[in-house]
This record gives sequence, structure tokens and C-alpha cells, in this order.
Amino acid sequence: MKADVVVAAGDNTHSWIDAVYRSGGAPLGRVVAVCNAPEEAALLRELQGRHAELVVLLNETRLGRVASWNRGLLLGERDVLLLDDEVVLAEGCLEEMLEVLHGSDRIASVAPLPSVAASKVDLASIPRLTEVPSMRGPCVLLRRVLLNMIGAFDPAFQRTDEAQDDWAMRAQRMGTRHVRANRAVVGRRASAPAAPAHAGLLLARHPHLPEQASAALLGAEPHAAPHFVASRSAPPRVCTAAPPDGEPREHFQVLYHSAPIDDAGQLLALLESPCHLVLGQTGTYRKRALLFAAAHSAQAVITASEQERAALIADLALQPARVEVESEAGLTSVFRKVVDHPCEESLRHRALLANFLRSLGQADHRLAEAPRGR
Amino acid sequence: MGDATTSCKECEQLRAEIRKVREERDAALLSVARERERTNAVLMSQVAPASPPPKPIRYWAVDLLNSGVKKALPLPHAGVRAAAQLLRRFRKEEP
Repeated sequence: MKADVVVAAGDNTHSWIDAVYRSGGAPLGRVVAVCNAPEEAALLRELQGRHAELVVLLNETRLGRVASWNRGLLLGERDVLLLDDEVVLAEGCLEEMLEVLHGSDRIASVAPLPSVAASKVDLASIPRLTEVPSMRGPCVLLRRVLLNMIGAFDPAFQRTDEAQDDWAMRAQRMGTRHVRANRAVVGRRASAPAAPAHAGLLLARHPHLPEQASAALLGAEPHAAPHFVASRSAPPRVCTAAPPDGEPREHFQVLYHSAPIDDAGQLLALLESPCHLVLGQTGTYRKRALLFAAAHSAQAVITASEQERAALIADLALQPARVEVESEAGLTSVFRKVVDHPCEESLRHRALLANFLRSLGQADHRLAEAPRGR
Repeated sequence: MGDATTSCKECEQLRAEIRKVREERDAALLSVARERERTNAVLMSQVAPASPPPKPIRYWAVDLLNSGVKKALPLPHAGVRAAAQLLRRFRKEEP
């Protein structure tokens, strides 16, 4: 498996190309650099002596980034890695992205984990991929078949992030999805600018996009990889139902909930929090259905005694490894364990249950709004 | 293929030729890219057909009348259908 690389060349591209060839490894196919200025093209052509597979395209007039990308994208016959010349690929990154892309026919694009810290740690214990709502970013691997089916970016968009979002939505309409390969890491030489809000033509075409984008950030699944990376340098930060000093929950990795859950709304709020969920005081629950739903969505369940643990495993059909007996010293190690080795099954269960509860809420809302007597 | 470090007249000539061939290859690829870009622009400009206009009132009226007859006179309605089917079958069986 090989992928071509497409870059809209800037001032530093000639110094960056060598790094791409070094880190790209065996899966690296042709590198296509699309230039606007003849001086840039001349500098890049000097590199063709070392890299015969480097293709330098010189635009006849100055083109925007989207149009330049399209030129490169439409040229190849392999999957294409779209790269910004600010991005530094870690070793094995492209190989991992290609493996994730070809792990399923329904994956349209793969983005890497953008983190400098993550390049120094072993990421084998975190989920291999996480679904993302769109594929915007400075480093994205696109599936060739999809490019052939739906075309490249729409030149009607001037902004690159909007063009990428539009492509992602068109690919989604074909029944495909976009994922992040959590074990493929890239760094950036400059910090990424904040993404502006969706507007204009993009919203007119895909009005559901903002809602989909914000829903995709709910729950612990999209945050599992960043939590793991953050906990490498310090012990995992744990919050209870209300974080201390009103600090946002995004700053914590674990939510320890030791009170019974009384209704579905409360359960949904817990499921939507970005932290890994650990449940305590399971003996105080009055509603067994809520305990069942919460326990299967939690990364760990803490019980007061061995008997309670055995009864809970038998009653709720829980995995024994995820049920622990309470001890002061033990809690810290449980928190560390759930961040270091998150259970994918629970993360998935939690995301599906949250979706289900949200859809129930929406249905209730619609029923309440519908005029009576129909 | 990397550039050799040796430098003689023939080597220089070969290098210049390789450079020229590469430039020609890039120019040819650029032409292909431009053509495909045009195809992409055509594909992107395709607009989904507008949703069809609402049914004319006479269609609604006929549908309403038909469903009314079905509800009010279910037996004659079913009888007429059965008779029509029977007639069709007889016509098929005739040589």
C-alpha cells in the first residue's frame, strides 16, 4: 500500500520535502508540490535530483490553496495524503494511516493525532481509531475511490477548512465515515489557528453540520487519546459530579460518580461528559435499569465488598476486570488504569447509549410540540 | 535516481537531459491535472433537480373521489376489480 502526497508549496517547502521523504518510509509514493511562484518551482526542481518521484507543478496564474490542492489530488491514482508544509510526520505515521484507511471500505478519510507529546509515548493501549465528524486539517489521507466518485474539493469555497468540510459531508452522503488514527502522530512547526465558525454556502448545503460537529465531541470516546497523552506527564486528574472551582470538565481525565443516578437525564449528562466514567456506591441505586446502563458505560465500577462485587458481576453481566473492590490506595490505580487502558467496548456502549437517550429526548420534545387531536 | 557527484562533460550533458525530461514530464502531468480540474468543476457545478411542484388540484380531487368510493362501496369496488381481472384472463386464453 502506497499513498501519494500533495502539498500546496510555500516558502519553506523545499526544506520540508527532505523530512517528508525521511519520515514517509516505504508507503510514500509520489510527492506532488503545486507552486504559484516560478522561484519556488526552481528551488523544488533542484531536489528532483535526489527524489526522482517528486513532481513539481507550476500554476500558470496564482491560485488559491483549494485550487492548488485539486490539481495534485486529481493527478494521482493512489490514495492521497494532503499535507501542509508546517506538518512534521512522525515515523510510521503514514503506514498506520494507510492501515486504518484500508481497515474498512467505509472509511473515506483518515486524520492523524496532532500532538508533539504523543510522538514520544507508546500509544498501543488506546483505541486505534476514533470517528470524527469531518476531515478538516493540515494532514489528511483521502481514499482514491471516493475522489473518483465524488470529485475533489469544490472550488466555490475559498477557505480550505470549508472545502474540506464540504468534501467530508459529500463523502458521508455516500455512506462513508471519517476517522482519526490515534496511533499516527504528527507535529506542527507553527501553532494551528483557531477554526472559524461554519457559515454561508457550507451551511446552506449542509445545515446539519454544526450539530453533528458538536455532538461528535460529546462523551469520552473522542477524548481517549488526548487523555492518555495528558496523563503521561502527570497523574490523571479526577473530578466528581461538580468540578472544583467551576473548572471545565475538559481539564479532567476521570469523572468519579459515587451517588445513585435517579433519571435518564442525569445519566445522559454523565455520558456526555468528556471524562472516563468510574462509578461508586452502586449499592444505593434504586433503579436497576439505570445502574445496568451506567455500569456498562463506565470504565470501572467500585464496590464496597467482595460479595457485592460478585453479585454485581453476576446481576449485570459485567466484565470482572472492570469491577473493583473499594480501597483508598486502590482508587488511584483504578483511575490510572482507566486512562491508560480504556475499554473500547464500554466507550462504544456509552456513545450508543448517549445517542439513544438524545434521540428519545428529541422524540419526546417533538411529541410535546405536536398539536393535540391529530 | 540520485545525482552523481562526478563531473565531466558527458555527465553534465546527461544531467541536463534528465532535467529536461523531468520538466517535460511535469508539464505533461500539469496538462492532465488541468483537464481533470475542468471535469471536477463540471461535476461540482451539477445542481440537484428541484423538488417537483405540488400535484394539480384535479389529481387530489380524483384521488379523494376514488378513496371515497372505495370506502363507501367496498363490495361493488372489489367486484368491478374482480370482473376486470376475469375479463383480462378470458381475453388471454382466447386463441
